[in-house]
Amino acid sequence: MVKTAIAAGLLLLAMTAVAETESQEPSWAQLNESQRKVLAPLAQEWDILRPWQRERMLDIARDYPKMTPEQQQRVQRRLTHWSRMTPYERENARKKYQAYQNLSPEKKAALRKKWEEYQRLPEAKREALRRENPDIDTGLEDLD
Amino acid sequence: MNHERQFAKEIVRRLDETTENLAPEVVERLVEARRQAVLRMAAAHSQQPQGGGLMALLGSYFLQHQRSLSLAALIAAVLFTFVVTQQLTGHGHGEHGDAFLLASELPPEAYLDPGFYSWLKQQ
Repeated sequence: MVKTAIAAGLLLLAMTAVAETESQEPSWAQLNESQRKVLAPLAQEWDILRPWQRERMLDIARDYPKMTPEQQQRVQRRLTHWSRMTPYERENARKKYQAYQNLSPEKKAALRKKWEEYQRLPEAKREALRRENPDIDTGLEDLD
Repeated sequence: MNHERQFAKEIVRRLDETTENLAPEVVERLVEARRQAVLRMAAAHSQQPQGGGLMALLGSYFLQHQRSLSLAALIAAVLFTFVVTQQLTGHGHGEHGDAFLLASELPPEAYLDPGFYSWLKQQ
């Protein structure tokens, strides 16, 4: 009986792996209408994205309908830039996003205000600041 | 404890001896009584009301199909674990997926700009 259960489990995993492989690599033409609508900024480069990148993008398309119109606009604006980041940058952004999520609402608001102020600094000043701290591993948790 | 066991053995031995020496008519009466009792029990089983016997029916069904039902339960447990695992890992990113990162009030550039962190530390 145990052997049968193990066999059933393995079969299930194999089926999932096959299904995932198929779903990870759809070409642009294979996407459904709603996926194409969300991922429209990536239409030109979709077919040259790696399978794992496509999978991540499809995850974004899956979560998209759960968002407010404002959030959806932000996603559309940022999608292309996001897809062109290196895996290292994306992973780093995910970690810091998690840290940001853990901040109190007040700290989040303060950080957003600071980001707006930072954006208003002259580019030369920002560049100088970047040279001061070339290590992007600095986390938001360090700023608490 | 030993004494009690010895006593019980003695009772069993004596009963056996007595049984062996029973008169044939007594044996015949005992056999008949047993037959009647078995018949009565069989009749009681067949006349059990449907509603009251539901649990017994289910119980007997389970006993008959114990092996396949256990297997089904095991497979259901494997499936359940699989679904839960999928939700907790893999695709189940919840509000922590990349989509929510992109939709965050802070853009991804903010998380990656070392100048921003330098500036924050200076403040």
